[in-house]
Amino acid sequence: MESHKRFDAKHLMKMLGEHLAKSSQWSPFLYKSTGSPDEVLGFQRDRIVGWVLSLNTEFRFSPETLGLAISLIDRFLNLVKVRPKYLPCVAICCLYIAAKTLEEDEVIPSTKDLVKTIKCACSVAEVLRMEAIILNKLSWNVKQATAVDLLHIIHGLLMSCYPKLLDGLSHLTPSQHLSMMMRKIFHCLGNHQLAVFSPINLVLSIVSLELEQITPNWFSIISMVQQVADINNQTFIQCREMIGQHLTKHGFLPSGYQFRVVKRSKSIKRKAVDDEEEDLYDGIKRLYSEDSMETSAVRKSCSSEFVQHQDTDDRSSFLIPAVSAM
Amino acid sequence: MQKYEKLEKIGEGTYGTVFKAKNRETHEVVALKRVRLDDDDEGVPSSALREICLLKELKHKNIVRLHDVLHSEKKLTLVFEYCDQDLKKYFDSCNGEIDQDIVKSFMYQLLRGLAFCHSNNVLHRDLKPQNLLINKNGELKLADFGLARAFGIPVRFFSSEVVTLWYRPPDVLFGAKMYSTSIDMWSAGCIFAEMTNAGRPLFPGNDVEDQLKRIFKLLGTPTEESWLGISQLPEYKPFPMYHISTTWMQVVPKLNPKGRDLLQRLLICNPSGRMSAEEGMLHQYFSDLDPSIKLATDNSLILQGRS
Repeated sequence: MESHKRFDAKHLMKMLGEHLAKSSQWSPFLYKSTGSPDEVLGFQRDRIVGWVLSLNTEFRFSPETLGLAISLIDRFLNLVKVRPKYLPCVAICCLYIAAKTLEEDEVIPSTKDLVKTIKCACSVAEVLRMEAIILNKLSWNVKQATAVDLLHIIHGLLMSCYPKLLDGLSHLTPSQHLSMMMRKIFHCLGNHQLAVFSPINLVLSIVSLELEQITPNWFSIISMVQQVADINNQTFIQCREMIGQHLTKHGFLPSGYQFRVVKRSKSIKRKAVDDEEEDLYDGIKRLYSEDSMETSAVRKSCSSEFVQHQDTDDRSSFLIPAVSAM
Repeated sequence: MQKYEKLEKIGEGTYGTVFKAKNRETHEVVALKRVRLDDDDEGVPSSALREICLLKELKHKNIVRLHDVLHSEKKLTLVFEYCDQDLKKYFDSCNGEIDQDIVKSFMYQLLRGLAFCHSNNVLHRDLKPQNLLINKNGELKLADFGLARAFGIPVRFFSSEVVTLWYRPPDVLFGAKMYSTSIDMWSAGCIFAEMTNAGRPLFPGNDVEDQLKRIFKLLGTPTEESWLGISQLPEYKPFPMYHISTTWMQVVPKLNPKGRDLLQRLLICNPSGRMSAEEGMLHQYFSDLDPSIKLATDNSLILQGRS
């Protein structure tokens, strides 16, 4: 019963462009780690995001709603000085606003049920008052390109441009792969230190950390998206490194992929690292017509990581034509 | 409400009263949609919130423009561009006669507005003559986005409690929850037929069953062969194979053959076979459309010249 048309790569590129244009006014969210008891500190923000995460599951809202709620919390807290005691009310209202915006009416709880579910952390009147304050402070600009939306688009793009990308994995379908990455996104969104990075940076970093475990060609794929998204190399490397550390520390990396033994492949044994680097350089050359200082910096940083995470067989051969076709 | 001077009540929207008003400073005439917030404890209605969010992004000449949002403790007011009437009222003023060139112009503009929504991943989900506004210049604008929603990847289950009965497609009548842009295209087809008949609704059903019966009596009852998966729909039930006694000539006598072809491509029971808004705009029926409407610089000539 598929009444919808699948999105093609062209449409996804258009969507990506529009989402990025929408988030062009994005500014980093900064939280202090120490300060007066009257201001919200980083750890308090993280705790409240964790709470919203569990509420989202309880209400059975979509990941998009959760993504929007977290983005609303950060935007509001960076706009208005909020006392920590009001944090639960701010958080529940952001989730409520996100749900009203994105969920169907059948799924949206009444204010009474909402308050009951959160065990009366705030009253109905407080929720209504806070909802009005948040909407007005944000000038009713609720919709934002969130990391969740961007992950959907970029994952869709990858699946559409590289349909064989996950072929080597024996235990993951594209949607399972996506939901695994989604968990990582939410894990990162729960850390205020990563809120200084734009949603697209966050997404691209997580995607690149995944791809390098799957395909030796990950760098050229990421560079392509990076170019489209016009992401500064330095910020990207910094973001990627921080996220890599964060995910590794919490046991999310490496992802524990199981690779299928490909029968027809003749080069199942590992290629010499030198050869791989040679391939990589070729890829970069194709993608960046001029060789700038920045590119070589990326090359150095990423290729060292690349060597560490080298995996079994060489799947780059089928990926190259797809890259040049883009 | 100091900024605007209320002039008269225009009507009742899905979630509030609509007034004609004038900006005291600029004297610009606007439409105010007023939502009372103290009626219940639900805060800002989701329909108002969705309408605001979507219309802030959908800026197009065939979509009603949201100028401003005013919010006080007790009420929420959406300030829209003013249009003289809706298509329903326009029909009433037609007395059963409508210029087929105007129908063509309206239909083209409806498709263009829809194509814009759809390319921005928005479904309207409540298209009907009351929600299509018309101004003095013969411009048609999609309005009332209270049931509209954004769609994207991944495809999610949506509510099947959408679209006013007469304009609801058969898949949604059978409870389909995985629909996309095709939902609006069916409504567009119903409105097209209604326009060419100067306001006589095509399928004025009384309830879901009667609605489906009326549709199948004109288009034939779909089968698993013509529509793969139909019997799997949540509220599917078999209908008899009706004998089709009416021809399209009888249904839309004023519409020329090209127009009938377009209509038949929109009114296809199987959603995957329905024409898209973008394809519709390229249909032969519009080949002799006044080029100024295609450019949409000024449509005033059409209405003034012929009325």
